[in-house]
Amino acid sequence: MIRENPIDKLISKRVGWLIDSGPDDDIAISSRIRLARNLEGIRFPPGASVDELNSIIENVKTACQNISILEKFFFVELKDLSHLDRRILIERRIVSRDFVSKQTPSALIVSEDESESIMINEEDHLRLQCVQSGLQLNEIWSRINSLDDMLSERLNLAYDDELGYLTSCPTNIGTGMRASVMLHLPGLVLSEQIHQMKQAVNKLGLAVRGIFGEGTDNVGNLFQISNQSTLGESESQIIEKIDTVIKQIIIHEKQSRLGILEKNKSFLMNHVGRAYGILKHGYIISSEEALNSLSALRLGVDMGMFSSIDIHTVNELFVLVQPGHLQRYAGKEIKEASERDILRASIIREKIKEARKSKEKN
Amino acid sequence: MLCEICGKNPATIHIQEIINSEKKTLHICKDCANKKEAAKEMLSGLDLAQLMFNINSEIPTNIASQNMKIEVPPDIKCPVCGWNFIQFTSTGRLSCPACFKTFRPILDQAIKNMHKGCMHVGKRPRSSAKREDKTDDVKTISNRISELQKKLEDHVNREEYEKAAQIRDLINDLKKELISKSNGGKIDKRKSN
Repeated sequence: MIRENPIDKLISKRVGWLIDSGPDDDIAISSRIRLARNLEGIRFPPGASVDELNSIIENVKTACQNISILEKFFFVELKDLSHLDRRILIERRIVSRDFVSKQTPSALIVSEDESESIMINEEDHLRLQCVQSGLQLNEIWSRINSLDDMLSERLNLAYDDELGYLTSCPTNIGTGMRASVMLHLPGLVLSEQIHQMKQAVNKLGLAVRGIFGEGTDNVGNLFQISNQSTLGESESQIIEKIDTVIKQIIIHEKQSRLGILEKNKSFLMNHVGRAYGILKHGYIISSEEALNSLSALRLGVDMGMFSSIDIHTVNELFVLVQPGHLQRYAGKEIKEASERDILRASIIREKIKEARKSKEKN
Repeated sequence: MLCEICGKNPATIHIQEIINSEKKTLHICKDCANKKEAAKEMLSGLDLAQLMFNINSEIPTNIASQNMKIEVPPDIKCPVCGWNFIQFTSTGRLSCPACFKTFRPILDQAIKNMHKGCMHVGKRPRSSAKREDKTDDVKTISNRISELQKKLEDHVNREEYEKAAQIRDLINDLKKELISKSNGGKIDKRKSN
């Protein structure tokens, strides 16, 4: 593994799983599977001493040295990551908020393209994660399953025949697996069907939550659907269930978009057009306004209303407009939100201009 | 680690709070935990645990009393790692595999509420000691079936029919697997194109 702060390298590369195409990726932005694992013989993070936590990091590092696919992965300790670095990792969804606020020894192993990562000493000793664009749970499962197998051949994992993999939080025992898909659902939101969707999905034992926005507020029309139960079902049963439900939601989303187009075209054009206007010409744009406008722009692009804007530019902007990325772009910390709002607007204008220019060239 | 409030005693109690959407962990000693403000926070932590674990009946009324005097509750403490009842209920977390046995009665209820079933039916860890050999497959599965049959009997005897039913389903699945592996996974060539 490469022992170095990965942030510079990650930032310089375009986010693979956002940029590449995946199946159904107009609505299913990305899929992710996370596995929670603990080592046998050392206390779990909530009760572990600093020495124990350090020994976990050492054990895992040693085990990883012998795994060939991890050769080009980055290894970095949390204490070596700046406040801004941590924000960027959260925004790229590589780590959780829980992880970055740890005061105790923790570390991160992450692949060059960010699609695979391992958090060490978050809530459990190991949190494996694999992300890909579009709806690709089966492929992701295959990758993360083999990583898990390789690790378990070198490390003694805490496992019980009856309760499965043992985790610090009882909500994760058994498979220790959280499978989730990020969906962009402007159609369902605009046609006011989102609440019904949430209720129906909940009844099936899946959780729905907005990616951005607090509580019931919806910002950016982005939602994450994930399994709630991890015990009593096999990994493939969980995946199959989510996959089936997501495919249904995608059908409903497509229908609702067509419905709006047929019955209320002016409303749709207006909604998308105004958002485009703000993005193209605005000089002060808040985070919330940017995300909502980008959502409308993405809807327009999906429905073929733009010949010059590329879907991947829009996806990239979703990440770039966030506070950590903005400050990274500026090369310094910007504490004033109002200053960030101005920078945000200028980055958006620039990216849109770039996208249009490159389309004109082609 | 020393108590974050008095800085004198070792911190044995860890409380997680959510302040302004940020999760923070407070590490304090038992003395400070008995003081009013800490007790209030702990109470909200206990409320969380109540929600998760439905352990209303198990919390001694002392804790909820006016002067916030906190008695040491049911003397449950994990013999392997030392994690105690208050730590468990204030954080909702466990500290080692043995904790699952120590706090089992409370956990059983919680598991029932949170999960689809109470028995793991997913993958097992692949360890270098038990590397799966093709020829041992049939043997491994038969052994597992025998183990499970014993467990099934146990549950039936204890009238734990839900658990018994899950194990029965798992046995049936394994039997099917055993049949297909015993046939050497032969493809049925009689299928028409």
